[in-house]
Amino acid sequence: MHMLFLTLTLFSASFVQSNNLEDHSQGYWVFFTDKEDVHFDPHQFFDEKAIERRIRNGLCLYDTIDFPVNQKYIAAVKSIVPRADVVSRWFNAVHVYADEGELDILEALSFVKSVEPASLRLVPASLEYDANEASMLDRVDAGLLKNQLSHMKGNLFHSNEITGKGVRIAVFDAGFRGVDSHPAFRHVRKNNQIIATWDFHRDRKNVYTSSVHGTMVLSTIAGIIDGQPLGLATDAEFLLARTEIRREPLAEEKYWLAAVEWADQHGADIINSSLGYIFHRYFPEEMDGKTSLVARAANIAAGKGILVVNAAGNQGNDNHWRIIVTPADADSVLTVGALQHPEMVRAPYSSVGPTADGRMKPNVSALGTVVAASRRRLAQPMGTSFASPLVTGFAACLWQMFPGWTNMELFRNIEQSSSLYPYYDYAHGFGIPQASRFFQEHQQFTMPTFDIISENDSIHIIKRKIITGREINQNTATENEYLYYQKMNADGRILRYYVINPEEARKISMCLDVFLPGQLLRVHYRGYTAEFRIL
Amino acid sequence: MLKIKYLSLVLFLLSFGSLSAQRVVIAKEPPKSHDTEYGMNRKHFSHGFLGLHFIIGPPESSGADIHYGRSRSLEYGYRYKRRFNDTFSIGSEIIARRHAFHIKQTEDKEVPDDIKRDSEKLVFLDAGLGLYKRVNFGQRGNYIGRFLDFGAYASWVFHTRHVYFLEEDGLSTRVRVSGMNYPASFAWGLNARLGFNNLVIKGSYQLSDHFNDSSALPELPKYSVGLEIGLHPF
Repeated sequence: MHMLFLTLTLFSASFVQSNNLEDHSQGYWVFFTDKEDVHFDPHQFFDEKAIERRIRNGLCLYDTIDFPVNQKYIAAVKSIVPRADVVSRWFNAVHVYADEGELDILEALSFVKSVEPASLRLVPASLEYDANEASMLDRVDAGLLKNQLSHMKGNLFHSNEITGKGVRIAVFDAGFRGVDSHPAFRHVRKNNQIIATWDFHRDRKNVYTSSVHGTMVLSTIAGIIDGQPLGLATDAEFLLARTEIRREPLAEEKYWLAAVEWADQHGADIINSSLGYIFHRYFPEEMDGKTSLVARAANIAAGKGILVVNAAGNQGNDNHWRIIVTPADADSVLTVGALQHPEMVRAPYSSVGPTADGRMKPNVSALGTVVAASRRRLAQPMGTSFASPLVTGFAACLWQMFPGWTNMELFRNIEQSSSLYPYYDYAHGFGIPQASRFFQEHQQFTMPTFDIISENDSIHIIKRKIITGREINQNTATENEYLYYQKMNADGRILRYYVINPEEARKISMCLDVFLPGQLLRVHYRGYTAEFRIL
Repeated sequence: MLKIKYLSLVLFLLSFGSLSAQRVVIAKEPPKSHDTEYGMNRKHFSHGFLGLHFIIGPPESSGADIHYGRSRSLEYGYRYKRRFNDTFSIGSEIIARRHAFHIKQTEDKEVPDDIKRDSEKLVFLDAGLGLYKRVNFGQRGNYIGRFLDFGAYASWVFHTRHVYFLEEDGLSTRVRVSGMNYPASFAWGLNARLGFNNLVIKGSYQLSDHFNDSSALPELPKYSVGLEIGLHPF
């Protein structure tokens, strides 16, 4: 009897103690009221490329959001709390660990605007990867490797010597183990394409430790194996930030936030983030692009001319979550969903839209299963983590081609180039970005591939007869025969959406009485989109 | 309303009369809203659970020694949680349990009698209800998180049996006796749980006796400690 009480007491005591520690190690953001009495020289603070980007985007170099946080405020806070680490210029805040008593003192300070709990745990948007990495190219799926770039018509970039040169990409991930030794990055090392690195957890430069997740992600942007590119931006420059700690169960979004400011300072043109926050801190209805600090930070980064590309998340099969993660929910983030190979439709794990406030997400899609560099060899991982860097590489190439574009022009052009555009749904966005749209000799006019006819109490979708292939639009990457359609209400909201494989059927019919007057039937088939309004 | 919704969906799919040669690859309806009432850290949540507990502690009096480790309880149940805020919840559960006490064949053995056998066990099957109060720790989104539960339970012992083995002339005979008159018909007790998401450490103390007053049998150990798994995603 005494033993049980002792056991339970010990358990309880250790639990309470651990929670006391937790209370003390509970993170909070302390937001300040102003940035008075601070000095800021943008030419001293920013990398030259960051200055160039601001000028290109017509942004003021003396934006107060970039001003440093008042050191006196930080010193005052540090005198109260046991630990303060990350400082955010953009949010004029410092991240601290404090207990309730210390919070009361902090909140009473005249220069403290508010104190808010920091959130928890960031999850790499990849699934367990294939362990079959015993050898290099001869052991990988050759079809997948070919499709990896060709599904975006990426070979057109390379045949035109567009390789992302001059574009600086920041990659936020859980670690880049092997990037300093793997043959897939030999050219990156030789050409000194890695401009800066930072481990935000350990406050040090070495990021080539811990997880191999970032290694795989980076390889799908820039890797080359035996002359075979794994990504499109093989000549881009890189900033590598380790922002996530797998071993620490309650790693915080503070590192993502610090990294985005660091990337801005170091002149990033594009940020690739194959990470996202989910249930550990948030509820699905909070995926509105406004609630999480990282979504707000991603929007600020976009406001500074950076293209932020984020994985949609791998919660598509999770009945308790299902929708996109944050910061993929942010309005100005290019959110990338994953397609399965070789079907080229949404992978079941890929998180779906819309956002909690009804906005369209994801924006585009790419292959979620890829051939990537692992620690020493090649692997075939899957997840939206790997769709995102494929699109990042695509964006870098496009920016090299059109250096005058702003980030949002680039964003819109990527969407408009995509295989389903102007059709979209919440599983695929606008589909797969297509390089062919940007090379005149490969541009093709969209020809009607079907007709929609109303007859008595039915609607018929009749495929046009394909004789030589000239009558259909070849400018589609999906290279499949899928027919996409959706039922929309009068104000354009998607009520239901479908992808079907029509196989041999030439006519697809549906009863008119499943529609209400004013509703729309929207159909996409082989590059052509048409609508039919129910009267 | 729900029926109408499903009916219209079925009608919509069936309306593709000439789609016999077609295959639906994706069919999705975007969520109109998110369920903010039901979920792991919402107002209401319920889930099944499985537990394995080991009987611990000394017997209440001599003559009721058991083999520890082999004496254990299996527990199945369904639990409901009503959340009041991020810290406090209350809940109820229905439980079905199987306790097996492997009796040590000591010199002073008295349970259920003083006859020495090769091996023997007493099995109690009960089903009942429990109530608990939960304290959650730390900030979290839509998941269970860390918690400490304190609860009480009451159950009806609907079946007991006495199983033992006899060896005679190299032959082993399994004897199973049920319908004994000495087990108590009801059990009640207290428990505490310490959990992180679906992994739970549980300790219980049975306040009531295993045997009725008229039997005058020495009481078996009343404590148990073990693991429980919540049958929910994480």
